[in-house]
Amino acid sequence: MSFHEIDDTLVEYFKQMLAEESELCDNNNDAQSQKAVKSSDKDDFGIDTSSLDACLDDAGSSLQPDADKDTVNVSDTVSSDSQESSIEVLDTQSSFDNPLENDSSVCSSLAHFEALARISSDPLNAQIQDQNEKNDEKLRDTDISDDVSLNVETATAAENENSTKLAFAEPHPLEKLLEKVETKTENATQEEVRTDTQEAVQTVEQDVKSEQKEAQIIEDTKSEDNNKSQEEWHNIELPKEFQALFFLVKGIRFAVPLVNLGGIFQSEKITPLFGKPKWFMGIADIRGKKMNVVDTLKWVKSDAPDSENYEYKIALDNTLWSIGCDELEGNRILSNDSVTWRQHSGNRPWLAGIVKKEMCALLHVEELIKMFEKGVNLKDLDLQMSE
Amino acid sequence: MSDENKNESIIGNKLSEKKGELLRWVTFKLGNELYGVNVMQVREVLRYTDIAPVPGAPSYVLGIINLRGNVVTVIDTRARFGIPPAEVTDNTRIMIIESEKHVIGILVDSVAEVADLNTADIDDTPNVGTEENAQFISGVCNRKDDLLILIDLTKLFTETEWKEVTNLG
Repeated sequence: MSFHEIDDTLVEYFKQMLAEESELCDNNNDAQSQKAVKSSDKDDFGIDTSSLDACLDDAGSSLQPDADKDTVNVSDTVSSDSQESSIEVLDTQSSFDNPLENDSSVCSSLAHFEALARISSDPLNAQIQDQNEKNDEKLRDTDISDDVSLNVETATAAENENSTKLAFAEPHPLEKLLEKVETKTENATQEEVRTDTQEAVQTVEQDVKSEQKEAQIIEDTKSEDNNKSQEEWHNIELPKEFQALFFLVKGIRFAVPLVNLGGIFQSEKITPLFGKPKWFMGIADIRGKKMNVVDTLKWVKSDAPDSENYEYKIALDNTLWSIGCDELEGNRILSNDSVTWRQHSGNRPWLAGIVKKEMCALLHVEELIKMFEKGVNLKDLDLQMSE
Repeated sequence: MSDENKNESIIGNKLSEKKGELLRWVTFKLGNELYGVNVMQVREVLRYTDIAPVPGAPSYVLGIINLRGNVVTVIDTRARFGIPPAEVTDNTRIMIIESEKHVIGILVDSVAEVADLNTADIDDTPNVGTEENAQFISGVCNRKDDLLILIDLTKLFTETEWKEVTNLG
């Protein structure tokens, strides 16, 4: 194959390639597709970039002026498709002997290269153009990135503008909102606390009032009871002259009107019951009746020593209550004038009066039985009266 | 209603309403006084045996005994009734009683007899007691030359006291 035949085939091949690439270029401007094409070309032609660069260095020095000129021309006609053609040209150059090695054919080869460059862009110029395109792509990328960054910046700027606008429209809105929310929550909590405390205070006040009312009612009832007891207390009504039984309890003389005397009995056996007051001696069986026997001295004086037994038991009225006594002094006739009658119950409702001559207590039997039934002795009565 | 519960109810406050019924009572002595509990509440009567004290138990609890494999709490009846303590004698007995599904033993000075009493002969006691143990007495009745004090074992302890006493075993 002669050199010219090769050139013709190369020219045709380049023409075909340019046509195809022009079509592809219209449809595809993507850099990745170009890289794919590049890689495919590499596979097809087995070009080493290092050898390509060396070849370019060898041949480029002499062709630089034309190359610059052609680059302008080609760049006008061919946009981004010169890479493959230049590679293929170089490949064809590398396929045969390097034309620079033969000095005689340098001029012809240069002329041929010039012709090739005119027809289908010089491979060196194409290489340069490729580099330029790469740079352009880089610039585009940078432009795009710049655009993106600019867009982002503009977006952020717009946001900032918006924010600044909001900031201008209402300074520190979040803080104010937070303050409002905080103040609202604080107000709400304060209101809740206030309402709670108010409710608590109200309930406490109500409780206190109710307690005060209850205490007042209790005091009133107590005072009423005392007044009633004092009002209800009536001294015994006896004729101008009446008989009374005098008896001694551990040296203390008492008198009981005969009208209130239920009986006098003797009993050795008194059955004590647990859980009863200390002044309650127990139960005595008197003719089938279970008489409650009271330790008279213990009843009058709580700290008095326990009595072994009383010689006699004086039954009070028709009740089952009886009081113990040691010695019976007998009965006497008394006049109303001989007795200092009590007008009020005071602390001694059981005391009807004092017999002047004997200086002894005349018992109010009815009230005494009431006290027995209540389980109250003189000390308890004093405590109750003091309260 | 079982006979036992029926009898227990009779023991209580409804004595006055159940006049004329004949009831059997196991009588025992504490000091010089004669007490009676319903025979239906008494499981058995034991001689005095060693009673193992229980630390931290109430003051009226003497301790526990082993009754054929069962642990039974023994009550100091004198202390519970407020009666001064007394020494253990040959007549001292432990009465195993059952009240409201609780089984306890009560220490008594002696066990006298089983007496038949007519409810009509039982009298109420004066309600002058302010202490808790005053409610143990359900009534009194003449028995020969003595007065028999009838005890309502259902009121011997409160519900919490029953649980406390029975849990010791």
